[in-house]
Amino acid sequence: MDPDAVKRALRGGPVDENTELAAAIGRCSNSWAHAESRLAIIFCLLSKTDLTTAVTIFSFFKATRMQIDVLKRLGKISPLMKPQKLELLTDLMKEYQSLAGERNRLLHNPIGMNEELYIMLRDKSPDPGAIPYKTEAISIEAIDDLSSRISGFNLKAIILSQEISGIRFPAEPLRQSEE
Amino acid sequence: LKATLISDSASDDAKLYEAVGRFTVTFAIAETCADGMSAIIFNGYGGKTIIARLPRTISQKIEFLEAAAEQLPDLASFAADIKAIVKFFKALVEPRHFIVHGIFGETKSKETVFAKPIVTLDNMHMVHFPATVETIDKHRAGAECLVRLTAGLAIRLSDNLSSRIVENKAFLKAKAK
Repeated sequence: MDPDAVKRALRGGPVDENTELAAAIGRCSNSWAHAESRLAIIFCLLSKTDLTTAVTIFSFFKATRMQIDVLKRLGKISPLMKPQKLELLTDLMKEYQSLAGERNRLLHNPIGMNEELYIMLRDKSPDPGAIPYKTEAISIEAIDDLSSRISGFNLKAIILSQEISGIRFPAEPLRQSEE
Repeated sequence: LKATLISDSASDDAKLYEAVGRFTVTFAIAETCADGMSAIIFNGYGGKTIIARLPRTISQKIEFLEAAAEQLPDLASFAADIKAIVKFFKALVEPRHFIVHGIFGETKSKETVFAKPIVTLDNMHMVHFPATVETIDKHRAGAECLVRLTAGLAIRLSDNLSSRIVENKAFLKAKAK
């Protein structure tokens, strides 16, 4: 292992020193938590179970692909779903898949700084003997853009939940009182 | 139900988001170091006898490293260190889950929390985890220790492997003579 590469990876500098960058990553992370909860609500509606059961089951579907497959399959068999709603669900799942890829790329890889901010990504075909990572440029603007697209997705998920259930959900999640 | 609304990413507590960002990136670095260590064990220390392909999720990585420390004779002298790292990772997995996958919320006593797994209109099915800058920074410091421990051990494992290869080559050369 190349010690210099390790040293570079250990340097938490860009995120430590750049509060805007840290906050952008934090916002993106939290937006995604909302997206996951929106999907759990859709799962609850489509599976016609009570929320506790639905949430418990859905929490076992950790892989994005699995979550999508389950929701699409339920969408196909649910009597609540008309063709137009199914189309909405399918489009939403495509968007979720794509956003999940971007989100995972951002939140599961180290971020560093040379001349510019970069993210370290696993290189699937590295040169023999080389550290199997490559770097790609990243910016606060790109992270904020991802966060706003996730927020857009969350709104669409709310709309779909309303379409399925006929219940008007609040546009924003609830701040909950103590259990 | 006593509930109020929050925006999905418009909390005014920027410091909290900063802490989340710092923790997330530090944990990602720790996880990357664990990837490196897993790859070295998988390819150089007989890890292929335990699993067919490299672990992907954090729980798979923990499981693999734990099994490797237990089962692989070539790792005997590193087993204690690997187990310590595994223990450290285990302690951070739950906080990480809440910090990264939880939603900011506020309890009746005005405590800010990460709430999992869900918030609904008519019921509450939530587990709370305190979401203060101090709490997150504390876990972040833990993750930073983990980065150093894991990267350090990965380097030692790699160096040990290199020296064994050199020794083997020298042995084979001497034998050929």
